[in-house]
Amino acid sequence: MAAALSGPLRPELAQAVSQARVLVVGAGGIGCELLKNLVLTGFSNIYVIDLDTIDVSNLNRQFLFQKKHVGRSKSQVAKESVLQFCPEANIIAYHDSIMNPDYNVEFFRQFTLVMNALDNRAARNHVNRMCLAADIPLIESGTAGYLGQVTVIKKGVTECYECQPKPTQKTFPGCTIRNTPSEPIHCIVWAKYLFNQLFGEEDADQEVSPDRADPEAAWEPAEAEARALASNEDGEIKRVSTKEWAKSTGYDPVKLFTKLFKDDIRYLLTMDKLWRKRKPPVPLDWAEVQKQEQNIPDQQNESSAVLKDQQVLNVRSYADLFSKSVKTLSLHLAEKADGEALIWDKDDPSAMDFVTAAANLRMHVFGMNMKSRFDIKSMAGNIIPAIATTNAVIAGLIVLEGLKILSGKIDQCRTIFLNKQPNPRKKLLVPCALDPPNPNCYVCASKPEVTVKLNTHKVTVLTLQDKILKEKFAMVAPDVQIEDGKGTILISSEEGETEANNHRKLSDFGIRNGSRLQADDFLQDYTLLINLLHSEDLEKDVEFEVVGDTPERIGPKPSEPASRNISNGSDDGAQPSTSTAPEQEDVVIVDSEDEGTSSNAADAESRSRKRKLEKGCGCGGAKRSRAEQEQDDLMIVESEDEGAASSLGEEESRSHKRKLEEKGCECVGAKSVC
Amino acid sequence: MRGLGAEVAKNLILAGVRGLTLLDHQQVRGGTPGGTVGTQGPPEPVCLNPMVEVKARRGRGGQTDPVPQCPQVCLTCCSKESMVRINQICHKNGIKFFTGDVFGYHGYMFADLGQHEFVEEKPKVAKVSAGVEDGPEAKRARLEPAETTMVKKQLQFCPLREALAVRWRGEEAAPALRRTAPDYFLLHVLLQFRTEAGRDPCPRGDSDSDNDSDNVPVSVLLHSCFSEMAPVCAVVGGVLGQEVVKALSQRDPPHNNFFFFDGVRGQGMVERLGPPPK
Ligand SMILES: [Zn+2]
Repeated sequence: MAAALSGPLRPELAQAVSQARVLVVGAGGIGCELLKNLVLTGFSNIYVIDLDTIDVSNLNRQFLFQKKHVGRSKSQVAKESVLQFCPEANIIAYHDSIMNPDYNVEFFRQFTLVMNALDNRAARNHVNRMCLAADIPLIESGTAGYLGQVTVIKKGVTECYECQPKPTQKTFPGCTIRNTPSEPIHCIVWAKYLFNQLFGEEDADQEVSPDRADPEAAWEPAEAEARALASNEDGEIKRVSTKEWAKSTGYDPVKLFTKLFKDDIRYLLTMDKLWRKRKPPVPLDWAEVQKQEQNIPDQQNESSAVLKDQQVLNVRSYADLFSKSVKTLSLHLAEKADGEALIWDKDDPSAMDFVTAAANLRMHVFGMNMKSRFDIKSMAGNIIPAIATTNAVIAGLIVLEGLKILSGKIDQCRTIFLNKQPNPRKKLLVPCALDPPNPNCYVCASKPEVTVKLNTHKVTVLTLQDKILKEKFAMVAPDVQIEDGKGTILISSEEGETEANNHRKLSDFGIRNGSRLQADDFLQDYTLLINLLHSEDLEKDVEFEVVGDTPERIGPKPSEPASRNISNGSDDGAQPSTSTAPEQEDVVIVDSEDEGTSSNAADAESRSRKRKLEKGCGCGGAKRSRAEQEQDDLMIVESEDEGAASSLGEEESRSHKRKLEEKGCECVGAKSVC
Repeated sequence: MRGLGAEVAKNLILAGVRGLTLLDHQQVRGGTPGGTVGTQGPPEPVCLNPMVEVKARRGRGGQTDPVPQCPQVCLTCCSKESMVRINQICHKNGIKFFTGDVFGYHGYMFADLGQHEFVEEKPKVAKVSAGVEDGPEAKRARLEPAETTMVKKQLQFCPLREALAVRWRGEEAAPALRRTAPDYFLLHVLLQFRTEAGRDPCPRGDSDSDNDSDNVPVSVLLHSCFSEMAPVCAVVGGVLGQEVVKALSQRDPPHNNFFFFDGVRGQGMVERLGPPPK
């Protein structure tokens, strides 16, 4: 092994590697692969942090974990496993959230390099800010199905993670699905899993019952670990019994309904820490629901199946649909040979009925607006599983970018995209030059500023804090003052100081059109100036919109104003009807060719061709193929530049400023830091 | 210790490939790690011994067996001569053949799946007619989850010997020459070195310097082709592992027939090299 360590690297680089101190954030699918690659490359000072404990579902992707480790800290077990084949490595493991204030700017400054192996936006945003504040290079990565991406972020040199707007999050930690859904897609994923648990191939990855090991439910990670161990002991039995139990009731729809929408929800309510800052779910009672009137189908539209699919029914109707589809599916299952299972198919009417009903009932329980069968079908068709080999490739690329940084050659770093199929230029792995920082970025600009449109008579201080500052702008503990000359404190991060303001409207504090707020996050060393625009004509369910003002942004049709809005609220990225919010699409700019640093004229030309695709996320077969069709138009005009076109899910060519309508695929990643 | 083989083995085990025989030079390791639960420890040295592997494959299981005993062979770090020879035997016997290697920052894989059948998910074409694109109806129609259908397809692969024997002289070859990944030619050089020197180039040994300067384009290779770099093994092993799974499951188009990875540029190319398909 020792020979392998020093062999391939130049001596100077080998020395830099052995002396580097690196932080790996996340010990999940990418993290495990990354840790292995790091020690095999000769890194010997490695810090790894992960909040999660090991779940049975991790074992088929995260090779450092074995069955006997279930319930233990991921970072700790990853460390132990790596030490077994590389005992001389110095690994420090933290079983904690990277967003814990203990990991402040000083903590980050000790590292040569930070590598993200995360699966959620909130933590990525946070680490981005910490690395900017500490001025430490960050390697960011993500995977979705067969697609993956690696990029490098360096303050003042490259775009930061937040320089370009991102679509709503496309990967969901397991505990979001099982415990704390906040968007319709979370309920749709849950319903699809439920289908498999009841009628299909049971998959440990697709657990639907409450997750007692949710690290968020316990403030102390140790407590979460204890819970995880306990839950695993009976978890095994439970898992076997979901289907068995359903069978034993003869797939009694009322019993199933009661377990899923009443008993399990009641159980979730006992995890009271989850509901301190969230709206708690409301259990449904079958008998109560039956008292409701059934929806009467809209006679006028009855002839059109499409329009019928676009109606949103009431809870009673979905309860009945649930019952009816459970009966049908259990009959289908009974017709199968012993041990055979049903396969979920969005084009199978009863399977789709089941998912529509179960997802909507759960949305209702969690206080979301329900969705039409049509919307649910389009969202459910695009859920992408995590694939181990994608993580392996991406983790290798992360280390290669790290080596360039350690050689002092950050100019040679690239964003690298992994495609499912080679693009027409024959590239499966596509390196693209890094873009310079967006001067209007609301995170890495020298004086970050942003404009938010909202109704000051409706939005409360709590909404401002939770949905706008924390969720949208990814602050952890914001302090807010009004720039009214008096410096009125609206929100204080000190517990108890401004709680009284929480439920008051912004207008109660004299905030109106044109008011300015200064939001500070001490931990992130980040100050954001917020210009407020009062508006009374936001879409239904949209509480606020961020007005984008980046003229360089790629994408809008020429006819559109330069500014773009990022909608929030009920947006889920796959909802076809929100025509005012088509902006979710793109996120990352991809240069089709990388040779940016070369002096070659042809390269310079290729550099000007930019395109983009969704960050770490692509689309499943159907969507991808549609994108291919649309792309045909592009190819005619710019025949040389077919480039990544047909193989990347969402993208467009800058020269055409043509917008693809498809966007917002949903991916389910490995469960990790929640 | 060869990292690429270990990477491939790990990936196949994680993917739940049921039967995996790992053969080292002398000693057989592994067996049949089954199921989808990864119990793989640290990377292990793997090198499929050509002789043993091939002999074991001759009496291949019947078509009815859902998991044929040895439907695929995957070699790493073998000489060109062994690869060509084993590939010929596999090709004749309808065994899917893979090989791959890593040289410093560079790596490749090659596949010969013979006459390969697979299915691919394709949308049922339902294009919206032009002119009505702006109406809400049109928008909906376009965004409706596309109906997809599984399309059966076939691909014809060529053996490694033919893929390596492509002629590059002559005028007609010039455009192809420009478009082909330089790593293909690098591979030729390195395989030649392996054949002549009986080993891979190494950065130290003085005796190498003469050889290297004779045979290897130094400007390209300096310090970028020596021994197996772990992250490059991870990339090539990931792609190779996925190709083996793809071939087994007969879903999605396989990479036909080379994949070249250049870790300096972070670029991965798929090239089809060999005689034109019939
Ligand atoms: Zn930025």
